[in-house]
Amino acid sequence: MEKNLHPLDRILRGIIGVSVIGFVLFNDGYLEEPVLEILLIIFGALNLISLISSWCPIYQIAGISTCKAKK
Amino acid sequence: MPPLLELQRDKFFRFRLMIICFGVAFLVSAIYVIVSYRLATDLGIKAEQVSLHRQTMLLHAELVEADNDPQERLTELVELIYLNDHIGVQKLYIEAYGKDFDWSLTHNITPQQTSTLKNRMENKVTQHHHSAMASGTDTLDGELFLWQVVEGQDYKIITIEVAESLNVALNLVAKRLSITSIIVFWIAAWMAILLSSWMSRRVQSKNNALAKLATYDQLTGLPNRLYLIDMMQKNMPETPKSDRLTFKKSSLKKEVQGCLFVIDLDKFKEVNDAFGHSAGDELLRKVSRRLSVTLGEQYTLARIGGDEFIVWANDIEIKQATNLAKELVAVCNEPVMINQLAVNTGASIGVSHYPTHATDIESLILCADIAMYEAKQARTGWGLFNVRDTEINRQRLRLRADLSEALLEQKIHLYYQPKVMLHTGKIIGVEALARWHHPTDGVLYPGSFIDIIEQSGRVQEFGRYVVRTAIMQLAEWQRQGAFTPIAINLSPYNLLDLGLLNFTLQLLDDFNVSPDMLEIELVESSTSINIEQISYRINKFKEAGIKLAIDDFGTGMSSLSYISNLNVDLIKIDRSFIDGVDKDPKKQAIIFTAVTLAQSFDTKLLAEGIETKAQADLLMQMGCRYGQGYYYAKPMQAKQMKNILLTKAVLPIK
Repeated sequence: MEKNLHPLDRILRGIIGVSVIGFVLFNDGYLEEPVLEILLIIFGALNLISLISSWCPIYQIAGISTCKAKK
Repeated sequence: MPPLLELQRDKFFRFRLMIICFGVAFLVSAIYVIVSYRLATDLGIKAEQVSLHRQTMLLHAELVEADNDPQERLTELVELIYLNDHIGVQKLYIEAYGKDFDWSLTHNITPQQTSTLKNRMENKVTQHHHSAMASGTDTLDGELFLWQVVEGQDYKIITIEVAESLNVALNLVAKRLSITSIIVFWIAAWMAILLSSWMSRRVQSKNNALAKLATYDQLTGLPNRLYLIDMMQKNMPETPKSDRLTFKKSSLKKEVQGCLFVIDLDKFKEVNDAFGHSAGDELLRKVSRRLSVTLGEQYTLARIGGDEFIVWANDIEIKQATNLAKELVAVCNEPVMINQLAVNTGASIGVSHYPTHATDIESLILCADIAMYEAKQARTGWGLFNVRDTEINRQRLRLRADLSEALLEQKIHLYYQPKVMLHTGKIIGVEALARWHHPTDGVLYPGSFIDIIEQSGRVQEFGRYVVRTAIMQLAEWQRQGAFTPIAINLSPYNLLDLGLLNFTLQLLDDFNVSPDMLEIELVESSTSINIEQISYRINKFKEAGIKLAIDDFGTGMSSLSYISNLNVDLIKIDRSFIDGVDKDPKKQAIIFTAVTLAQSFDTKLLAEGIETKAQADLLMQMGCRYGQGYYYAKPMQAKQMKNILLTKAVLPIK
């Protein structure tokens, strides 16, 4: 599992992941919709996983890598 | 040429795909948001209407049941249901009336609105199929109002309230649907990335295959001309403009140089003809494999068609290149096994150097091609391009282009040089020699254009032109009283012209010229090319009465037995034996032999290129009776020749 995320990409994913999960947990009944909450949690969790592993499965399949600076 | 490898990368393909994915996601989201919003409002209004109906019925029931003071009871109930703190309505109008009873309540609705709504309601109630329990909606001042009529035996109640569902739905849409849209977009974005990369990868692999097909030779698996040119274009900064622009850069960089080799197999055609095409293909495969092994990764080997290969060697000097060329020749000379037979193909290689010989690819290939052609002609195996050759070549190309015009406008004239009897100086005939009056190059001699005519495929046209001109000249001189034969030089290619004999005889007949006034001079070497065919043709001319002569005797490669078969009327000893004959006993011996030969064959003997009296005297002593050369007269135009002929002058004119 080769790393394919640039630090900037990781930071962006981290921010998205934390804010999405934070929103789901502390939205104070704003959403009132469990399906959406579950989806958002998955979304956030995926972002956090790729932050930790600095590897994105979709990038892997698509053959993209932001690890090295683009030409 | 468009850079072919650009084909492989469509940079906007992925971008476009992503835009399309986003567009679709946006459209789907928009449709879903609109439909869900409408659905939510419709459901809400329906529910509100049902509850309004029930409430109104309840009010009606309460009115009927109320024993005393129904008005107070009604007010109490309405306050409780509608005007409480937690689920109170924004705007409300209730009216109830019956026998001795009329009650109404207005909450946040203006009397004007009430009357408008009631008017509209009345109209609809009359159309309603169940007018006692009519209900409906109405939009006024941008708000949706619900109304309900309940009409019992004693009482009739009308309820109007503003619908809350729109606001509630809008609120829900803002919350949930917007987040749903974000999630849809998120999925769409990743889908777009996945799809686009998947598709572009497929497209790219197809493109790669196509590019491979276009740039590689199927038979040998080597790159082809297209690939080579593309690659070389990247390697050489050929245009002076870019040189100027990148001057600073290139002065820092190492200077680019390289050598281009054109390899042509010598025996490929023979192998193809002898063993068939599959054997030829096999040969090409084997040779190309061998060449690529020899060259290694460092150099690029390409097959550019037929049995021609090109090697591009980047960054090598001419000296290294010649060594490499020798090596390649040696490799090609090693026998190849074809059908269990060792075939020795051999190859000719031409080398050109970038940037000394040419700075663009086409010219570089052309230079190497010329060098290769010369190497093939000289059988030297390999040759380096020589700048001088191109100039000659260029002139040849120009002359070739001018040839049609010259033939059309009769710019090629015949000059005449007398042939004389050595003892008396009497003219026995003239030899017609072609001179091209070229508009820019001046008068050109046959040596510089005959082979161009032969190669341009107009040799037969030219031959007939010469024959016609000579016969017309003969006719003209005859009218003027000069009866002197004209000898013309014909190329062996002319003798392959099947119609030439009839053409000549027809002309002779038309102009009333006797065939023995015309003499055909055959160059000895040329007559040896296709002996069987040509001797048959030559004899046909002979049978028709036309005189035959062997030109440049002593040079060339024809055998003596062939001359004996030909039965010619005149043998012309080549000028190289006459030049310096008075000092060279060996040349004298040759001339002596020729004299003996001519006597034995009962043929006239003529010495060409006599320039001095000493030569003429010696030749006379040796038994040669006829001569031709500058000592007697140079070739001259028809008019001058005519004057000499008519005065019956004896040459040389002192």
